[in-house]
Amino acid sequence: MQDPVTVDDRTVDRELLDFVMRTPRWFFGSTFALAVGLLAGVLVFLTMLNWGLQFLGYSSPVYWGFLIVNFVFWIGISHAGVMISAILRIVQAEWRRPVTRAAEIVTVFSLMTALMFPLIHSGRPWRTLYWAFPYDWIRGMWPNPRSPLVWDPSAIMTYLTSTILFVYIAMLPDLAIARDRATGPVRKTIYGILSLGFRGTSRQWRIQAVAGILLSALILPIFVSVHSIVSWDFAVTLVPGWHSTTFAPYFVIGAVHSGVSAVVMAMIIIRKIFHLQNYITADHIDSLTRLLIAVAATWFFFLMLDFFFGLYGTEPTEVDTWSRRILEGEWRYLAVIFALCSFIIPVPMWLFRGVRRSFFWMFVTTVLVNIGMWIERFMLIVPALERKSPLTFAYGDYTPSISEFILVLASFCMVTLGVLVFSKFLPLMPVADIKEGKIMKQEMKIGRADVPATIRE
Amino acid sequence: MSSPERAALELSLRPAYRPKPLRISMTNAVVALLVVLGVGGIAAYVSRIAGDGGRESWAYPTAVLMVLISFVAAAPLIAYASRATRGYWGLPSRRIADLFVIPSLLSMVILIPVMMTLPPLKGRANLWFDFAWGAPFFTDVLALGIMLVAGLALLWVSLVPDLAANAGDMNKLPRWRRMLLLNWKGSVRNWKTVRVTVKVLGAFYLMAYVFVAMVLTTDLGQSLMPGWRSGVFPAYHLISGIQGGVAAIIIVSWLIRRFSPEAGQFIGNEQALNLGKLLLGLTLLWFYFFYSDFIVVWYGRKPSEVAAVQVQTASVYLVPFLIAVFCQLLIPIALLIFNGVRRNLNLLAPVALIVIVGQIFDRIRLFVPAMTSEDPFAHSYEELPNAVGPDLIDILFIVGFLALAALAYLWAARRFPIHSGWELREGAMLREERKFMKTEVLVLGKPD
Repeated sequence: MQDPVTVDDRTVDRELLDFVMRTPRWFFGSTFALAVGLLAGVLVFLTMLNWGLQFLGYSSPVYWGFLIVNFVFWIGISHAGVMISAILRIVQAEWRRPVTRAAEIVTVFSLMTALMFPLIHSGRPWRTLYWAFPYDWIRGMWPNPRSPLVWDPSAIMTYLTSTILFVYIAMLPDLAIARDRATGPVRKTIYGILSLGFRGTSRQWRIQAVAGILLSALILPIFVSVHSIVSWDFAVTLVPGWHSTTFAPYFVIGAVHSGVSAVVMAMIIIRKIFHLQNYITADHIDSLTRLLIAVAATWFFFLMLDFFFGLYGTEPTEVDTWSRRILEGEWRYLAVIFALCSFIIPVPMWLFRGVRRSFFWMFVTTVLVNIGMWIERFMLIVPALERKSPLTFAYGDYTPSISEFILVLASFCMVTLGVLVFSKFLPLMPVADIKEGKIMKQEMKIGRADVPATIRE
Repeated sequence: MSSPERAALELSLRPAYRPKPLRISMTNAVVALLVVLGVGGIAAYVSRIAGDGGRESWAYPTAVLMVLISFVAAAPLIAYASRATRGYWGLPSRRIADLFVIPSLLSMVILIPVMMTLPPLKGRANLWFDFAWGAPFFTDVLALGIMLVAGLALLWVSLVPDLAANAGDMNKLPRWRRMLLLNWKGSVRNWKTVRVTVKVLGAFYLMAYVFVAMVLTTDLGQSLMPGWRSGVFPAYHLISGIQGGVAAIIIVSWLIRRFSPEAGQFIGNEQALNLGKLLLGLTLLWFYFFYSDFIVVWYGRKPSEVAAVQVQTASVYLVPFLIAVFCQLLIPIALLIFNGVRRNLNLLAPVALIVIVGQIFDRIRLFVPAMTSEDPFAHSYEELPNAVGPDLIDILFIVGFLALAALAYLWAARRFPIHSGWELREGAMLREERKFMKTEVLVLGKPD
């Protein structure tokens, strides 16, 4: 059962808005370090523009390397926000309250980061405009709406737009609080405009609540469709190892697995650096981990379906791809690390209450999950392309380059920097929601025991 | 917010509520009709065993088997989900769901002769690879057997507190009955054992169900039909099974409310609304899993896979496919999006019935072409086969076994309490209405 927030409303305001109103010294140092990491990625990108994709180490037949792995990974992480915020809101899980905002913000920034990678991967990003605006009228060259590569940006942009709208609606009461507490005229004006005149009248609360629930329901199909469409980039091709009907749900549930793990990891860091021990308790991490156990088990089921039905037809090309993925060369070591990190170590550990309630162990295991899930995407993509096929005559060896590693690092810096800068403007924990949760908390006398209770919304 | 039924809130610890087996104000004519249809089903079953029609003659019985594995065997999972998530609205539905394990026993009766007609594994795509220990006959029967035993154990353990409450003085009972009632004394240890066992057995039943869905859908479907290779199909079967399970619970809940005033007082708008939401969600998932399967094959344009999909959806079995799509997707969605339908059990029950009808046709379009495929060793169809329609014995079999399933459920409901009394009491303790400012709110206790 979740420990109730015991501090009064005034303290809630003060503690949660502390970082917004006052800037500690470490903020500048860490922002600078993250900006440097991001800048390194920008430099790699600019060099690649000059030299072409070969600079990143790509050659026939492997043209989809770290860039696409990163794209799939960050799209996956972006599923956490909606999973935690929308689904838990619909099922009225009380423990969601302190977790939702951070999860939503991680979603927004990871989506933005994910969007960068197909653009970088195109080699000449400005040419992607031609997908939208056909340039060669005479020869009738039009964007092909039947291509999954056109479905992708449509789905992701829809998801990004709806997520921003969803986050914005949820933030309105907090923007109003920030407006009322802001001191400088600039801040006051900006928060005033953004809060859309929210004064906390009962009509405004009702509209905000209904809008939140409606958006939660509307965003769910988009949430499912985004990673499904990403998976179809692979599955609708006839590349052995990719052409699998399992891919859509497998990608979605894998995304939730890595995304919720990332949120747990983020919550533990946020709790530590923003001193939010009163709000994020072991109970919240415990509840998130119970959810993770169910998600991880479902993900494992789909992984097994993908594996068994890959081998099911005993088609030589499929068997060859799977054999390459898990038995050959360096891939076999990666396969072991993947299996250990994404399932074998963390999930059995999560079955113990002591682990679920330990911030240290939960941090370690969720980091492991994300390492494992990143490797999973790498193992899905590259070995299938590397396999020798009869009609490809030029084979180069693919080894990840330093530049690719820098781009991975830069992507992490970009998301972290985004979240950090956001936290300077609005609290990473929904103030109004936390206060509502305090009102909802009740107690019930059963026999001699006092049982925690909650008002059903 | 939908308020719970008043009766569910007013149950108290003392005097304890002791649910009785169902007394249904139903005429004997209905039971007689079910018996007649059931006898017809048994006759069709015997005729199929005695005949030498081979695998093709068991095509429609296989579809019936997969229907039983779908909505009948999946229903107890709803009870598990309600227990695992502590969904209070599901309290009156838990036993209704658990009791479905009794009719699901019929699946074993059909599975054994069906498995004996299957061709050897060697040379055709299968999930058993070179596993030689009796696959698929022994393994599939064993898997289904384990699932059914787990389901029966789950039902039994969840029944113990209610049966013990109705049994009177435990010391006067014969030893075997005391043992069956786990020497129930109502001690803290007894209660802890029941609660933990019900959760563990529920989780085990879920895992067993997933495994059974995977092996049976493959051995009786994909591995017999040239070109059908779909990793997502077991998950599709699972989801549509659970969709049918929810529909079945809705129908039984409606029947109880309509024909049994004593038991029906606990079932109301709260159950309707939540079961309706669940049915809507599962209907959308049905479409998602179907489309995930379809788009990859359709876009991939691999001739062998396209031919298999054509057989199941586009040309050969087009009519059952269209009925399935209308009944499992289009009609339910068109109706369930309205709050008014979801809140009202009288409106929800026909929708649930439509879903189950759709599921029967869905299983026909999936498993009949597989069981009637001429060459299960081929990698693709050389030309599309003709549709195989049911003969009189098939129709008797389908109607008869569905009637037998209904009879089995009715028998169970008249032998065992239809509501889980101890869980209803527990739920009543943990829920109360309170005054909050100017309104009444429902407060839910959340222990541990």
